[in-house]
Amino acid sequence: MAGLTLKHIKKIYDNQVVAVEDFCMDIADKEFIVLVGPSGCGKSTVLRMIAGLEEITEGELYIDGQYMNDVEPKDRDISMVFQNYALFPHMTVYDNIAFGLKRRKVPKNEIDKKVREAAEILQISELLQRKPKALSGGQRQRVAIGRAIVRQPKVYLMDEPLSNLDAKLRNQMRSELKKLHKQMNTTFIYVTHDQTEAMTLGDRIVVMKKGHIQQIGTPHEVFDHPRNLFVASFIGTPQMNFIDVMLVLENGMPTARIGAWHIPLELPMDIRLTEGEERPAVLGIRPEYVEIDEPDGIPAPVTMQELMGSTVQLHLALGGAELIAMVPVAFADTLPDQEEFDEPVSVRVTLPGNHIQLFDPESKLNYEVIYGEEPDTLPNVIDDE
Amino acid sequence: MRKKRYVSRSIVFVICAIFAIAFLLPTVLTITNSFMTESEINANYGAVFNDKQSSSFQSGQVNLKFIPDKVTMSQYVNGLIRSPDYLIKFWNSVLLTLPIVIFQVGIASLAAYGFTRWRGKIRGFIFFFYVILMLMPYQVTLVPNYLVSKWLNIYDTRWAIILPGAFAPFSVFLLTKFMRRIPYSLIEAAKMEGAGEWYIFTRICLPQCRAALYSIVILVFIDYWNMVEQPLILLNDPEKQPLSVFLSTINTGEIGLAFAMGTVYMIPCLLLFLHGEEYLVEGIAHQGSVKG
Repeated sequence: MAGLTLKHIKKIYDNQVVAVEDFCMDIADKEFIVLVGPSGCGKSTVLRMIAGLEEITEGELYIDGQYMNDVEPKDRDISMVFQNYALFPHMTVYDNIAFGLKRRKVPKNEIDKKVREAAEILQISELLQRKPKALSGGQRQRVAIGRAIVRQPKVYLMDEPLSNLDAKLRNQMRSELKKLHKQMNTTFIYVTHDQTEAMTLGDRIVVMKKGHIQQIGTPHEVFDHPRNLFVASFIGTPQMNFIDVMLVLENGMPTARIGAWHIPLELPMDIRLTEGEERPAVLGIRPEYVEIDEPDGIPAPVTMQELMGSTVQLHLALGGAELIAMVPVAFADTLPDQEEFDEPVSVRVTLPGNHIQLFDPESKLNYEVIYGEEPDTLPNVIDDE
Repeated sequence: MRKKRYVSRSIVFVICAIFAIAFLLPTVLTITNSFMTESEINANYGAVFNDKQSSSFQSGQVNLKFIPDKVTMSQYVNGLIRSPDYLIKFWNSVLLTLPIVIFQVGIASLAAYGFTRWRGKIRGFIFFFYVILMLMPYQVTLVPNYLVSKWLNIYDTRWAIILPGAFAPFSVFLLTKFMRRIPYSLIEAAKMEGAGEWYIFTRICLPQCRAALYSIVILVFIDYWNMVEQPLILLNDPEKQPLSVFLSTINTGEIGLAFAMGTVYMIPCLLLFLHGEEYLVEGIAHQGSVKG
């Protein structure tokens, strides 16, 4: 069990590509941290630097208070689960799990005890004499985890361990990983590009893009208070709606103007809007929070309906922008059949002021970050892509 | 449609059968004729070898005969027990070929591991250099090998053949391609679990290259078992010559013996091939699907 400190970590590869820049973070003991971001954002590089598989170009890494930059991977007392499982194909499941213990000259009877215990936890006891090629994807995944947990290291690193599994198995393994974290009671650092995995597994989530940290926070913070436009668009399915608005002060209250419509905003902070000022902003609201058919709502034609199972995504045209709203199937069933009418079916849309996020179109930052009371310690990297 | 397929298959079968017979015929002939008596062989092939001192059994034309009139082991007894020359040459072949195979596999696997693991900037250039060397016919390097062996004072010793044989680019190339197929994460996983470089090489990499190693053993063994140019140029002493060279100096009076010793000469290659056939096919087939 150990905490980690990463101070201004930077990674430049031989081809001069900067993979990670100024990565600063404290990870508490027993914490489940998820690094999430699109491909090429540097999340795996961070994990590999912690593992010692990549050299740290700049910055300092401490595990359990000890400086680790130059320490060999085997001496860091960490274990890693790889994306492709990295099981040794010529060895049995037993030998795969026992590999690390054998290398550390643990007595044979103790190895046997620990391997069987790990197999018991992962429910693979009956597979111990099989070779990896005789296992299914899920079983291989368990063996890879078994090899990691049998040594009981200080930190577990997991590099997209569920990405090769089918959706059903992924859900199952996800909950098992959560249980395993509780059972092992130690620090987990988990890399994924799947935001659902990040939201469900992590105590805290680190959202990354192009080598930079975009936000560190609990799943709730990242979902409801995204630091910038990227985080807001990356986290959440379907993604947050973005509408270009003009902010004005009406009767002393900040109001968002979308075409002819005025939406009063309930903001927890003073955005320093002056009388007569018109300030462009990006209004963000999650589809889950869009309210439909309130009497004072804005009329918006339905352009498309998508059945998602228990909910329906309504695609709406609102003041030139497209807005997605999530509604129960029962509600969608009450809407008239689109094909029977020449005119598109309209619904009344309300955007609740308390769920609205405002972003600065230039810095892309959330107004909560710009005008909030809590200082923002992360560097702001503007990227138009 | 079915009939057309049947006809085309039949044509392919007939062509393959003709080739198979053409390749197998000399082998079968050598084996069956090795059990014939000397007089029966002279009667069948006397015209070819033009033995002026031959007996009255000599016929005027060649008669390809597969089944001996009288089966005898006398040629084997002569070659292996009564006249030790063939046995000595056989042993010479073993003493030359086995060290080459052992050294070459050892050196090539280490070099291939280096090419796989080492990520230096000139790796690509050195590997390219290896491939270029591989493309050169052996005859091109014979003169330099001769000069170097003189310079190293190993001319007319087995080392003059073993040393150049031990450093063969083809094996390095084949094994490098094979080792690059091993996912890098396996090596990293082993590293994280406490394995050192030697352990990773011997316990992780080599076991997964079994097919390539078998292929190399078989190909190198056959190649050096059949070598003729190297011993002719680098070994002056006829006593040190391998069986491959000795067999080509057939004494016309010992054709039967040559058949028997030819059969003995084939046995190691045949056994090796039969033992590792599966790996040989796998090892070579994998090379086709490897990206450079």
